[in-house]
Amino acid sequence: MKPLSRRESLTARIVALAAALALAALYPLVASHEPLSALHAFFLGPFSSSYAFYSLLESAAPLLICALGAGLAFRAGVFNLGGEGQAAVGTLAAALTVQGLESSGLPPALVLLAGLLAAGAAGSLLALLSTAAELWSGAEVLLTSFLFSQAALVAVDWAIGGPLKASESNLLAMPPIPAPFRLPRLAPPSTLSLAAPLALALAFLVSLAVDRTRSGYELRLFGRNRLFARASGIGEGVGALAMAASGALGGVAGATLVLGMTGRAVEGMTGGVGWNGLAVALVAGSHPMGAVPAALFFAWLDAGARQGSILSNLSPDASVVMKAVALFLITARIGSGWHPRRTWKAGAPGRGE
Amino acid sequence: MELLSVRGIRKYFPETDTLANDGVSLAIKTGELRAVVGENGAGKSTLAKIVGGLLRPDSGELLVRGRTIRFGSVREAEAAGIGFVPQQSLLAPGLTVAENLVLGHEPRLGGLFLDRRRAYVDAALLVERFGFKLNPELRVNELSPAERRQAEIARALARGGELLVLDEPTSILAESESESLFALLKRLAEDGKGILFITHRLAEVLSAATTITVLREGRVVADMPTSGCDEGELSRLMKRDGHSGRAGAGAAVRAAAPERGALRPAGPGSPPALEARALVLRPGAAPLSFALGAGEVLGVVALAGNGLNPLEDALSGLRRPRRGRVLIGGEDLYAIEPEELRSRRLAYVPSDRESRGLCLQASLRDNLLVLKRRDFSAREWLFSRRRSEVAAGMAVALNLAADLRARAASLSGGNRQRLLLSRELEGARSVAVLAEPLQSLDLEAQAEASRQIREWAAAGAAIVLLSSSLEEVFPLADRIAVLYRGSLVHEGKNEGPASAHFLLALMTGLRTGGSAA
Repeated sequence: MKPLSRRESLTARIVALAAALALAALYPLVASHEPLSALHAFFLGPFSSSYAFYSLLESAAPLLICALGAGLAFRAGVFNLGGEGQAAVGTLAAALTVQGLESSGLPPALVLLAGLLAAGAAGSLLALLSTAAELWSGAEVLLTSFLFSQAALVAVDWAIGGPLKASESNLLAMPPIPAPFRLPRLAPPSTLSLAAPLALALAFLVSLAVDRTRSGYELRLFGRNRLFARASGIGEGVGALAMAASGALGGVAGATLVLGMTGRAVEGMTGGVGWNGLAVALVAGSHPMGAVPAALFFAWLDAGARQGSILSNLSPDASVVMKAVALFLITARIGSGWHPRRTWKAGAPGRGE
Repeated sequence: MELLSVRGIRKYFPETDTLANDGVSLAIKTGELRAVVGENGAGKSTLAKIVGGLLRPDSGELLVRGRTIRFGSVREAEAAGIGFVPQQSLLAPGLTVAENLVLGHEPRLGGLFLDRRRAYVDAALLVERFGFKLNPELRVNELSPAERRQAEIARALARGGELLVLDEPTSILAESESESLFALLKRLAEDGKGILFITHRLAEVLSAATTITVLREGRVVADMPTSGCDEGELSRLMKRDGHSGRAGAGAAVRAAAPERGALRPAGPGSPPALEARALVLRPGAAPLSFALGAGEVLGVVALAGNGLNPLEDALSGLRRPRRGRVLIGGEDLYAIEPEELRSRRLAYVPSDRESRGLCLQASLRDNLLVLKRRDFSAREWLFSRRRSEVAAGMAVALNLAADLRARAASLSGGNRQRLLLSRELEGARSVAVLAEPLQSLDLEAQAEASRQIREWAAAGAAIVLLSSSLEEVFPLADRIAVLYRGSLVHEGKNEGPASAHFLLALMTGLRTGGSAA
């Protein structure tokens, strides 16, 4: 298939999203006894009150940060399928760090920052395990990132529901984080916190890093043609850098869940944010700024399904169907242009002789 | 009978602002072997792709046996009996030759299963009938480049091709292989097929073609029979009027070359600029050693499959050899950080330009600046102005009039090679590994590139030329080494075309060493 130009690709994506919405609108019609009210609740519910709208923005933040991480790895031609686990270790690292520094007397802002950084570092380390495995044994990052992530999810859930569980609570959760150490709420009573502007700022920074730095340039070339990159003296380090940054973003996304939305680490709290982030990155063509509307779109579908289930009799899982339709339409339309190219395995260039 | 008639084809590429074909017309009769020649960027490949159904022109007509066919559809072109043989193989590497021949038109058993036996019998019959030197049972990835080319032709014939369109069929072939390819094409023409081939090897044109079309800047400037035509006349026809364009480019290239001595030629007692020490290119091959001083050009020649590629990999720092070392200025090449190696020490023009030399999906600017990436500050990366200026300067020196934001894939084959050479032979790099540096260049660009290489050597660079063509090496090398089956079987002073016979015998294994005398 011929690669599309930027404008063609953007148009194609918008058309596909519109088509997805039209198809999605059919779903309440068949799945609900009162289709009109379900439709109304689904599409307009998230905008019916400022509370609902702000909550939508807040839930878009971790999604966007995960998408930035996944997209960054794609741009370097690396498949990081471990976003979910990287976010999970991020939640744990953030919760533990803040808990440990709570009574240290440090200013809360500093403690908060330490929590975010620790989450980034944890996600980064988990992602780098895959790079290390690739360098040592040639194992595919695609596989190992998924496997390490699944293992990390189990371990994190065990820790939160077991040794680290708050003794006074019936929830499988760590003790709540005191308010001064959480990301400040911007519009109480909604959950909207500093996480949303933070996510937007990260999108801008990642965009600059990819398009307007030397490392970003090397990363793009590495992702497009690994053989050319190697012949031009761009080493495997670029792939590792992309993986580290990708994992770090996953970890930070996890931290925003703990320090922003819920205020405590709860078992299973990542709830698919890594996978949804991956889907957002695909819809956005791995473009950091493109991920902003794509993440909002996905968050809207989630919020709509929630509203539909509260105000009408729509299943809360409706959004899963609609997201799948959107992803399908977009990926089916575009085969190249943005597609992560995994043309060569790391290591020696293959050539017959 | 007239097989194909092309009338008034026009094709404009907005990305590079080039009018590739400007009213091109030509006709081919059965039994005709027509060569299309022209400089790089004259529009030859565009024309071939249009006839083959790969590109849709802006206007013009295409008639096969008097019937108009629709443009831009490979299927329709195939149905009309046009077989296109592209420059790069499109065969499925994991399948056998016979399986490739029937791909998409498989004979079925009971409508369901591949009739393997019939596929092989059909393939064997075809091979037999036209005298292909091809075993239908071999897998494509086991074939040599020459055999692959034959398989491509066989596939076009198997699909009912009456007119074959070949885009630079010999560009990757050694000389003797080209000869047998043309012998095959002649047999096909005698059998009533029509053949249209693109090339810039004029000797081939004069010996093989029956008619010649000369393209210049997208227009047909001559359409004539081969008889009574000579190389001088052809190259005169191919050149642009007034000869303005490239002359300026040549001057710029000269200006870009460093002053003599700028590369600090090695003093006595200092280590050689480049040294291979007991390299083992493949199991069982004898260890191979050579050394080059500053200003020296060593030509290493071999036929395909005799170790040129592993040697290229080893010398360019891409694959550490099984055994032995590569030293650059006395330092282990593999101990040098890759970025430092490529941006400051080693110029490398790979034989596989499309994947190693260029990133086709990236912009021309990104391709031009790849070795200069450390020269820009963080601020210059953030704001693109200086990067654009530097890239634009390089494009001017190259006389490349294209939008630098366009993808490198939009460049013609010859311009890709010119870009590569001028990107590599610049700056302080004092050692160069050049693989088939003149391949896919037209005569004038070849002359320009040869001049660049000689000037680079004169300024003190040590250059290794890796080539399968003696013609490429004779005018440039000080010494010539021959590889056969991964071992170095000869190394000596370049004695010019007089020694061609002797060197060829070494390359083909007819001789096992000794001297020309």
